[in-house]
Amino acid sequence: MPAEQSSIVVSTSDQLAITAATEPSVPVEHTSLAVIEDYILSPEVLEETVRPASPTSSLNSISHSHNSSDLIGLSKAFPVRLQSRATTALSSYSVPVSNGAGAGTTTSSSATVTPAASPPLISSKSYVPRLAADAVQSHFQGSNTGLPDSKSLLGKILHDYDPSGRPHKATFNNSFIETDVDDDSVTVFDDYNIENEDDDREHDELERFLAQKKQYFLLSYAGKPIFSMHGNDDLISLHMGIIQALVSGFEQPSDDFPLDNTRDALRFFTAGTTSFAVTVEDPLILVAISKLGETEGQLRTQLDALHTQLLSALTKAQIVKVFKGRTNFDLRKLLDGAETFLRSLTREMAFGSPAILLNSIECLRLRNSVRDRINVSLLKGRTPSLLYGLVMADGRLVSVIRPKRHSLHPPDLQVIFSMLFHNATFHDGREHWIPICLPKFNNRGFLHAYIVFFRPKAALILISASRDAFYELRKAKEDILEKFTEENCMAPIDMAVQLGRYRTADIGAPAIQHFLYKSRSSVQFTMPNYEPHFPDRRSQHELMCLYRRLHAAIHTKHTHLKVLYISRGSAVALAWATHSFEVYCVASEQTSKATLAQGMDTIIAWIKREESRLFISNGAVF
Amino acid sequence: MSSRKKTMLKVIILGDSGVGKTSLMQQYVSKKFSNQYKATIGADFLTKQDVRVDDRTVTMQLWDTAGQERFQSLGVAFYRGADCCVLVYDVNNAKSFEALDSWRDEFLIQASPRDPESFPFVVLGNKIDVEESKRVISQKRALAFCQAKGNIPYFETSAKEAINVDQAFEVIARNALIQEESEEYSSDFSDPINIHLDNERGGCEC
Repeated sequence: MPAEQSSIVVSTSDQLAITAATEPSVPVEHTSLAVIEDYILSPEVLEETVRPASPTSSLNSISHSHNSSDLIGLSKAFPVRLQSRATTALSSYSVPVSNGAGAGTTTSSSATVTPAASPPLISSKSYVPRLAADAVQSHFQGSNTGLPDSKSLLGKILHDYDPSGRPHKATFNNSFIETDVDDDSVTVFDDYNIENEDDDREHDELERFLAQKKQYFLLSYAGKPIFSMHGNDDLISLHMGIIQALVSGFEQPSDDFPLDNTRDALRFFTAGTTSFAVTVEDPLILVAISKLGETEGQLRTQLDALHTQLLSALTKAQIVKVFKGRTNFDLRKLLDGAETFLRSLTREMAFGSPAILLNSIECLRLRNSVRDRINVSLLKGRTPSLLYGLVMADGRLVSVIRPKRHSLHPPDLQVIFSMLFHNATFHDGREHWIPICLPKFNNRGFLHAYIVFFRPKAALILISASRDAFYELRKAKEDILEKFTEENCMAPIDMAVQLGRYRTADIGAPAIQHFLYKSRSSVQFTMPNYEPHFPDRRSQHELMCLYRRLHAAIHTKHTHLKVLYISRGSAVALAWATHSFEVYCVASEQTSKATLAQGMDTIIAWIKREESRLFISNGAVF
Repeated sequence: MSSRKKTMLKVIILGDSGVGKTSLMQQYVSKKFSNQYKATIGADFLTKQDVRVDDRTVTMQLWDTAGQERFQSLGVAFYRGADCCVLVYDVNNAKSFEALDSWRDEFLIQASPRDPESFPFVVLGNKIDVEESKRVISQKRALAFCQAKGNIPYFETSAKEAINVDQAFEVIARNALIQEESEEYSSDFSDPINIHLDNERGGCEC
């Protein structure tokens, strides 16, 4: 059986240059990497050299050639910063203009945020921060003069990801990632030739593998595969070998720099429009690969979520222990059963998860009186060994009770959300008793969780440090559910789930099609229904891609501009970050800036009023 | 759900430049041989799937390294976690045989396996298809070396004629698997977290 072959070439002269031997007869089987890293250049020189300032900049123009000698511009600290700077410089935000038909410009401008002290623009009765629509308006007008029309020149949301300025061929017109809880396969719809002969199957598999918009690799420091979102063993072990070689190449002190024992680990590099983020968590290496234009920070957050999910199944202590003295350990032996959760998490992240993007959780909107009754029921049913009691419904947090001294961390909660609502494992109405590590709480050992879906979409989770607490917690569950019924909690939960999220029309902002609002203090977010404007997975995925871009722009380091307006072919969007919240609003292309800004104001004001229903401030404490 | 994953074995191939490391791997993995010499630069990766070892099926990650000295800096992390190391020399080249010892030492230093004494090596004397008159290292001499180094399995091979290649890699796979399973890990999930709800220990500090 022919095997894929890859080469890594490291020369140890001043320049670390990795190039590849090629095999023209079997170009596809041959994965090659090229690493160009110049240690001689001073940072300033380097900056000049690699700054992707224009579509034809050196780094990007290396990108892809169609032969087997693809080069990867590999960068560490400097290019990483440059990359994000170049794509998110807010003050003069501009994206390379493509030449082809259907391509266009994206413009964004900064707008002034009026502080509360500015009398003409803000109602003195309101403590709600307001975006000054007038200011936005005038600024936009100013920036618009000279431009024919800021909207509409772009065809589809993702066109302008390509920093080289080439028209992006694989748009989401014919390619998107589809995910379903019960479906174990992630499908990427591309125009593949379905009638491939058997001979072409391997070639096809590789093509398919390389065409994925998102990839996540988990491997041991020795380069042995632990988990991959896509691909078969053959492809995976090959690519993981390359990753390991790259990481190890950067890790060790070289003869040229004998005193430098602290060389930076490989963190981020790009190849054309594909970004690679690497996290080395000895004894593990985690890699996220994205063709969706995500930033290093966003990919790193996803890797952190993936790592947290892995630790939840194994604990940090366990992983360190099994690898101690046996670096050749094949961790897949211990992963039995947990792989399904890694898989569902990666699918969720590839699709786009508001929770992970914003690093926060979403709560079920409930009346305070209802939530109080649920809290009281939980507290009354509490047993001595209970550590945390949670009610979750439809991917949202309903209620939490916890000891005074132990709070719950969003990443830990996300692990539970992902396991319960993005994976079908627990959806059988039965009782489940699982060991689970909540790494941000304590990564050394397991807690034990009693999980039951007491409604089709609502679960009760009782967590204890004691592994003998099953019967105790089962009894607690019975008491709690009994209380729920007595206190008339079931119907409101059912109703909230059934009605789904609110609609922007219901809250007086019909012009806004969708928004994300994150409360920074509570580390929680809220959003309206995807329907009616984003009814299917494809449009939702595109929406998430737009949010990622807004998020990336607004989180650029060293920028004081916290308001961002983007106009695209199909949508206009406005993002605003303050010290207490961040909000991202999307509206149709016809929406004027004033209407958009007004809509945002309405939403912020509404959320302020509804705060105690939308967010859980403290939970019930015992 | 994907099927149960096969055990993954990491095999490193070392030896002087030009002894036929890449050819041996090519022959083993894709049953191909090319007369043309092309130096490996850095390292190549090959995967051999569905390798039968008795009643087990394993996958081999073959790490083909460059023989040239200037690439030795791949080093430490690169060798780490190998399950077997294959040392290759050319029976018609005395220098390549004499270098075996230093390749072995280099590997043990870099990879630092927990038990160097028992770490599996396999020695391959390659290019036995070349006419007998050119041969400079006798089988006897090679076997003596292997014995002295702790009974390393020895094979005389020809990547060109496909002699002994499969047999050699069968032993490589078997010994790698033994190494991989040499120490039972204890999947001890019983470490409890001691949570004292009244004080801070065991949990987070917030």
